[in-house]
Amino acid sequence: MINFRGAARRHFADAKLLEQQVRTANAGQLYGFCVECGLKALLVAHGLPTESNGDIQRKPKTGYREHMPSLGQIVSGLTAFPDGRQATRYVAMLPGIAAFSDWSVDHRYYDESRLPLASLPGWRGAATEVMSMLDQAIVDGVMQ
Amino acid sequence: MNPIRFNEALRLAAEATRFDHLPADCQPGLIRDIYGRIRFAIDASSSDFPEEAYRHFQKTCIALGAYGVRDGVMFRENFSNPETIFNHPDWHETIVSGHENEDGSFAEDIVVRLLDRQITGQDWLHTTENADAIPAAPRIVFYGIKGGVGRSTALGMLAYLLAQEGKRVLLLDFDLESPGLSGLLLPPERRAGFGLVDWFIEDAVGQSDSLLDDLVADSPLAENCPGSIRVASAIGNGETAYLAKLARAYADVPTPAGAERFAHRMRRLVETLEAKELPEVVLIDSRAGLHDLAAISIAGLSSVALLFATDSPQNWQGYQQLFANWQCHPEVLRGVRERLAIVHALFPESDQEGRARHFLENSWTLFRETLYDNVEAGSETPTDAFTFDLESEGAPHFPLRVRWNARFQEFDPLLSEAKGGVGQADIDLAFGPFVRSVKSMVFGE
Repeated sequence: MINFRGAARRHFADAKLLEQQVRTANAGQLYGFCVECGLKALLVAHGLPTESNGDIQRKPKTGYREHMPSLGQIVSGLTAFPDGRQATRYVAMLPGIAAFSDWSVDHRYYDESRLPLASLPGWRGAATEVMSMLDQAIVDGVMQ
Repeated sequence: MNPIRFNEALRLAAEATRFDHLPADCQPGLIRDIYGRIRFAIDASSSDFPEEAYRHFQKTCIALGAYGVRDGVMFRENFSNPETIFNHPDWHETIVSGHENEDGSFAEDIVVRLLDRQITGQDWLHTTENADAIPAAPRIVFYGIKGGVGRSTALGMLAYLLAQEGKRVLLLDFDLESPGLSGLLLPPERRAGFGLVDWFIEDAVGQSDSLLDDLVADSPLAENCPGSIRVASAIGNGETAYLAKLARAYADVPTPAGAERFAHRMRRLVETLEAKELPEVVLIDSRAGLHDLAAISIAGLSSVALLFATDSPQNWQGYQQLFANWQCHPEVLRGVRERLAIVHALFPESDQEGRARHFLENSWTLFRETLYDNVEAGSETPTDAFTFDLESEGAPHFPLRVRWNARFQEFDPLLSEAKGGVGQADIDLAFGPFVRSVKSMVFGE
């Protein structure tokens, strides 16, 4: 079963461990998955329809079954949340999400020397913002 | 069984925090989410928390009914970044009122630490975040719990009389949902190209600086005065999309330092305009009612907040609700009450003595029951107590007065006396005492 919030926390914790051990290539991959899962957790909490296993519905196509950075562009483009007082409440907590513009899910196939690991601090910063945003959503009661 | 309601839930949760045998560093705070549901937040690891106490709070979560949540006892490990939750600036010592029990005994007040997560309205409690940042020029906020009490007219007349005395006056029309101040002081064609609402829109995309030169205009009302009246309207000249802008103005904006909330943006706007205009006094027309714009203006920005009221039950009830919100947050109360001054608006022409007395008594009762320190009868009043007698002139409850005058109905201050406008004598009669009182408060004159 899919648990986006739990997965975000797991990827974040493991990414930090890997980074501490200077395993930066895979730390970077996990920061990206952390952000993806965190954003998807928020989208689902805001009512995005899911399959019975908790994953985002395949059909009709919503454009949210994406990895970073595409997913981040959809979310920060303010198209992801309903109108109203909460429209910018959570997105405004994620100023660093654009740091993922040079991240790719395909980095797992790359030669390590070609990875943009200078971006790792930016990726870590954005992932930290996403995790704090999830905390806020929990105490707001929009996410369990 | 009757369902647990919103108020009762907080009381039940507050009572639950009085559980004996809790370690001193494990006192729970309450987090009330945006739906009103309550969680217990313990700034410790669950492994350091007594099992018996954990069961007690879990049981309380069930007893809270619809206002409780499963797993509503939260520890540090429930958050990824516990510091941002447990050190959040919106934690407040909060008094949860007592009540009389069915058996005649009295359940006393309980003080809890509460993190109240709200969609709006937090700004009524943000009185201290910039306590050190004293503005260069005094800011006078004009507020009414109800509209239509002559607030904007009084503001315009204060500006006029101050400009006559040579003061540089800056007016800010923050009544965004019901803009009108600038209409009173500026013919539409004299308005600046942009309004305050434009600043919020352009600021959100990072280009507000470029409109600052066309955001403020001179009011012709002060043309023959030694001073000036500079007006920042809500709406710019020739606006055709005001509602589309207003609908976006209150957004939180992402910045490298994190989300910048609307209140902070509004403060930045006011400070930017002050730095550019160098006024000697700033007059802010605030939205009426219990709205965030009013909250930010009164609690966060004002040097003096003038609270316009008529002697009607609706007015007193409205202010009672506002003051009660401050009353249950003692540290907030202390930060705001000294800046308040009530204004008896539309002071009637008949039976003035009786009506003045009636207003004064109602005002004093309200302030005494909510904002003033409660001094026990018979005991000596501490010298630092914030409490005043009924007749104490200069006390927040002792009203400034704006006289009702038929000539100020549908009033156009830009119309000359020769063309049927209002003359200086009428202005002095209606607004003279009010203006003198405000000057005394703000400038000590």
